[in-house]
Amino acid sequence: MITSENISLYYNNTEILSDLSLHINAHESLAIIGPSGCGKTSLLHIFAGLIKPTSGSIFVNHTPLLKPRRTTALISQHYSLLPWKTVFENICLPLHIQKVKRSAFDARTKATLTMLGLNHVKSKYPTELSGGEQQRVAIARALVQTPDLLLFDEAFSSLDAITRDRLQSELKHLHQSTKTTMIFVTHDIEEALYLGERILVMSTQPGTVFKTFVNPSYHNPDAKMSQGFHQLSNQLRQTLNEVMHDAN
Amino acid sequence: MRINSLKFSTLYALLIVTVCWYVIHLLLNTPTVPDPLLTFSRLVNLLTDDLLLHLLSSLGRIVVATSIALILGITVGLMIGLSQFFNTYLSPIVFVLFPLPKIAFLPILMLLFGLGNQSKIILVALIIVFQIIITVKDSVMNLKKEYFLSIKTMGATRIELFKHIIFPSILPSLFTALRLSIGTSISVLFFAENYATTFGIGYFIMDSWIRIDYIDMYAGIVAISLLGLGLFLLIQLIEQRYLPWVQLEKGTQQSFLD
Repeated sequence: MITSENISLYYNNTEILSDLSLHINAHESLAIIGPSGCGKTSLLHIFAGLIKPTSGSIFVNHTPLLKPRRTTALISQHYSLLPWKTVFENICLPLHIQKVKRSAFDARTKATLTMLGLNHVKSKYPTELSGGEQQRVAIARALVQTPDLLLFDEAFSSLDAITRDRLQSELKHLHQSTKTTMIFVTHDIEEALYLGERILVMSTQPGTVFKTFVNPSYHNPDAKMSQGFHQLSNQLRQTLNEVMHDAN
Repeated sequence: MRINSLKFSTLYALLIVTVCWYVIHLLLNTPTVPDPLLTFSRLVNLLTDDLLLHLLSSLGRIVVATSIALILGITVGLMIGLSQFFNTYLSPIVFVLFPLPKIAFLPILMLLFGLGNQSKIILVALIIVFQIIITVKDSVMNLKKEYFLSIKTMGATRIELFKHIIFPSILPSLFTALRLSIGTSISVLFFAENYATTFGIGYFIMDSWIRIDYIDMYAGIVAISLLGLGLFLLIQLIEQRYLPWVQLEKGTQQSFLD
């Protein structure tokens, strides 16, 4: 699905990413974890086609990525819902932009509203919703465009623990049922382990791939209770400590 | 604030002001503070006479001046807010011109644009345009980066960014600037209409004053106040009708003094 070859990124003469090579398979769920400021978000924005790497190449489905693709959706920490549009208007915005025919338009928006249980809030404005509902709307807006790549930038970090758990579980279910390629940037080890089939640990700035882990407990419905989950969690913690130690 | 509560609060405020005026009238017992009821009755009579024409002249000047200021202010504000180039080269000019007492330029404007409507309209537009430029610039510069990122990934064009993000985002501050501008433009117009014109509410008030016709003078003051209030309420109602989300955001603001 995505192949990045030796990408580097400079911003204001500071090296943000350095010689980063990575391949992400179609239908994969990848979690990216690393210390603050290691360039995780920048890498996600490169995958979204929002910024171009200073050097190196990036391919999506064997095609060079030169601008945002309409089948990629980005969900950020701050939901990015437009406060002047209702839930319904926010969700159908991508369809507006992509000039989808009106007949298909309403049906797709309604189906997405139903899928995410948002029918009761469709006429409300984002300020009237709780954090969890807002994030659910942001996910609905991403899904309505039937993306083949979903990018999450610390999407659950401002939610309370229970809402976060519920949304994570819904997303995992969604990934397993739709097989959409998902990339999660997070600083939460548990979240990375729960949502990622594969976990990529990045080094400190300039960010690059430090280590990758395959997550054997990803398909386990009670993953969080399994021994493998806790073992990998300790391994990840240790690896992150190594990253920090190397930086110092 | 809903429409009913807006009506109630306006009526409540008008009643309090009238009662205060009446008490002052009774206490001072001088022709310089006439009976408000007598003034209101005179106002009704004058409106069927030539006061309506004076009011419409002033209203016309305000509408034209505000429209010019809005077109110019939004354009320049967007240019500064969205482009580093214009921010570098236009912002300092706006910064220098904004605090100047532009009302002092009336003689120059009269020399350049004549004694008629043109100079008065330009003066009002000149005074309120800077407020609009700064409001629009600040709104655009304070826009969240996340709005743009997620919509750009949907493949939005520049026009769509304007339509879905930039334009709606400046509306709340623009309405606030408009409300403030109404008060300013009426004050400026009152001053400007004292020169080289025989039409306008400013002229009517000053003419009544010179004729020592205090009831007419007060009727003119009430008329200009009602004009300002009417425009203010109109803006408020448009905002409530077309920007309901702004009311919701205001509703979530807590009172820090309670």
